[in-house]
Amino acid sequence: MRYFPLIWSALFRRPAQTWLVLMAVTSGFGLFSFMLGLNSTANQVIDAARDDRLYVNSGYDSPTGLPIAMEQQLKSMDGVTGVGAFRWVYGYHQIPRNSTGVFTIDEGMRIAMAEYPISASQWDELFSSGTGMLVMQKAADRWGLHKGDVFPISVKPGTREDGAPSWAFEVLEIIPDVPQWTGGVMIGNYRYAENARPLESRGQVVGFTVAVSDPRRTPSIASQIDHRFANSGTPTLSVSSKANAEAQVRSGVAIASLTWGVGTAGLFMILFLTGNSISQSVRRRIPEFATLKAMGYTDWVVTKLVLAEAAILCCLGAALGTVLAGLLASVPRRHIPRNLLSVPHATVSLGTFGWALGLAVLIAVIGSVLPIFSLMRMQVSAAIGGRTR
Amino acid sequence: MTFLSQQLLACRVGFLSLRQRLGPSFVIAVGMGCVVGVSLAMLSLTSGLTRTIESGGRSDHAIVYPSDVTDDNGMGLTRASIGVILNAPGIAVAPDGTALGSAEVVSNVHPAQGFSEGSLLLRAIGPNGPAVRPGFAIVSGRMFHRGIQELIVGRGAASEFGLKVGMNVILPNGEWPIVGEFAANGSAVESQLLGDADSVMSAMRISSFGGVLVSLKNPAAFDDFKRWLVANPSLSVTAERQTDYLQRTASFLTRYFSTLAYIVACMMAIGAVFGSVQIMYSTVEARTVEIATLRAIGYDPLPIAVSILLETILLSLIGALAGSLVAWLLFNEQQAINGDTIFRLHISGQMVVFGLFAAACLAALGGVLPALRAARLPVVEALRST
Repeated sequence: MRYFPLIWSALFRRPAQTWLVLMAVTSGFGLFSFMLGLNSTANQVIDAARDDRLYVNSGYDSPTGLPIAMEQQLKSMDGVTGVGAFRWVYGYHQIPRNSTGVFTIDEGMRIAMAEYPISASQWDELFSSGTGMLVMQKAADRWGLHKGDVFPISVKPGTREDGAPSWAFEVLEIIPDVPQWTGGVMIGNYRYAENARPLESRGQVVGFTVAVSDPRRTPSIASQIDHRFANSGTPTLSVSSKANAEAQVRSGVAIASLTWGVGTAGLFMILFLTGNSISQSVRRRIPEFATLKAMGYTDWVVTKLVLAEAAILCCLGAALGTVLAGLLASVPRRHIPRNLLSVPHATVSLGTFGWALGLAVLIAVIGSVLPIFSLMRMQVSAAIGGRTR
Repeated sequence: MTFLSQQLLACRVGFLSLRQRLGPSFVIAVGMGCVVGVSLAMLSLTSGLTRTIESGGRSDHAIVYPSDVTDDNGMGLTRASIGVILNAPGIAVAPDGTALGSAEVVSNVHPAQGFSEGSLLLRAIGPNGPAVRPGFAIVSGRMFHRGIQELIVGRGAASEFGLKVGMNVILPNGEWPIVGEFAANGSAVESQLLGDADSVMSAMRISSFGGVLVSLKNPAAFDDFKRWLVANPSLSVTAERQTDYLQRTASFLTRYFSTLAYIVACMMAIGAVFGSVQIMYSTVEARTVEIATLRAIGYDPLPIAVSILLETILLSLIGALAGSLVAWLLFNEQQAINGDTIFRLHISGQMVVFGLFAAACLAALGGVLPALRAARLPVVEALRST
């Protein structure tokens, strides 16, 4: 603390230059934190996916999906504790490019989706209301929805028995987000939606979520299910929720695989910039450091002074950059350009902040090594005169 | 002394002293190299994906699909409507006298362990399926026989999913052998399995098609062809020129990658510009005496300012070139998969030129303030400061 005025005056001896370096470091760390945030969102999706859940889908893209009657057969299987069915109501809101959908589910999901942040009274409300839906926070932000709002979805002709061109859902509650739905979801009542469909398309679901008593049995139950329906009119394809999440995040040009590369390039740039700026600053102040050494200051104290100067710059940049990334990540979804809606939300958290600060210190240390080394080797008598030897 | 000779000399003095400023100069180059390298790497996704999707397209080919959907991935065309569609005017005729068109339907196949559902597709094609795909060739094994449960695999799918000739694919009614591997001009169909429409559809209990790919007599025949289809009361379909169709579906996929790439590039560029402003300011400061001396012996301020600007641009270009080279070595022609399309990342010469141009512009932006300071240096005070 004693040396703080010394460090501070050194930093702001050339304020314009310090500000420029700080801006560059801030933008580098902003990029890094944002990339780290995207990566942690991907990891959350995997972490949140449970290994005691199975998705049972139609095996080969059957246009009619699976029959709801399958639900009873799945429930009766050994090791299965709950089965819920789901089907989408697809369409668009107001204008065709605003495509959206409501994820309609039946009562079985109370058990199969038990980990969702939905209270018993909210479940009751959903299944007793008909047109009601529970909306996750991100979806509510995306469409600007509040409790009590009505959200009409225009659908293709032939979707409803009465021929109506749209479907109106009422927001019952806004519920917290879950990681699997990176953009949030609107949950509706399957039974109600089903009764409004034309007779020939009733009784179909897109798939089932199956809760399994013992996670170790998940793979064997999945293959039992597929085996059981292999020769039926609607063969199934069952995957564990965890395996599916992992495959989705890891295979393909996932954002997660890009983030590290981009983040590292950003840090690499900062490292060189900081190193250069510190060595410039040290070079300019050779006589000052020489005086300190002549007065009896040890190499260690001088090292600490240089390190502190670098660390303040980097940590300040890291903090500002993370705040910037946090601001970027918290832009409400309805203000995000449509092109980018499929980019997962970045989760900029205290953990991200910790990483950024840790790396800032590391960069400060690496960037200061050469200048410190030259300070240690300088001849004090020559240096007081402004020369290095 | 003319402006040009002053300019050349001012640049010469600057470059001669560059050796003393190797560190800071290197930092400018590294900064710009990172910006250009990362941007090119991210854009290589878009460009590779676009190249793969669009390489299958021809302007004398058309895709017919139901008018209530936007692509041929559904199952909305009945068998009866296929006959009507293939009777439309303007369709080229195959050597055997049939209309040169292929009714097709796509479905999911369970991919290898570690790949997400939906990443491997099986396309059931008609007898003319290969004929409507330019560059279609069997590269190993043989073509599947019609009416038999056999499949062939695209080059991309073969290497990505490890599906080799002789292996079996599990489908609803048994295991289907892969009897051949095919290439099709590097287009997206190389990411898929192909099978005979009749065999696949009966095995999978699919009764309708997703779309029809037809070869027209010539590109000009398209308008009449489409008009005939749309006006036909027994059909509710639409047609799109294959090139337009692929461009539309590709842009839907690639828009977000390129937007993301530009956002990342912008953030890095801001950092690099601030960095180069700071470094060039200190360069001007370090060269104060040198610049003041030039001014004192009669040099105009403009050539001095221009020499500072040129130095920034040159250093940035060197960095950008190195960044492009690294990106090219690491990413160009690397295989990647996005959804159900397997493609190779692609960095074209045009993209590198664009990267260099952007680097030069950013460098000019970063160099302009320091250059102005150099031009406005008060000569007497600057000389006195030594």
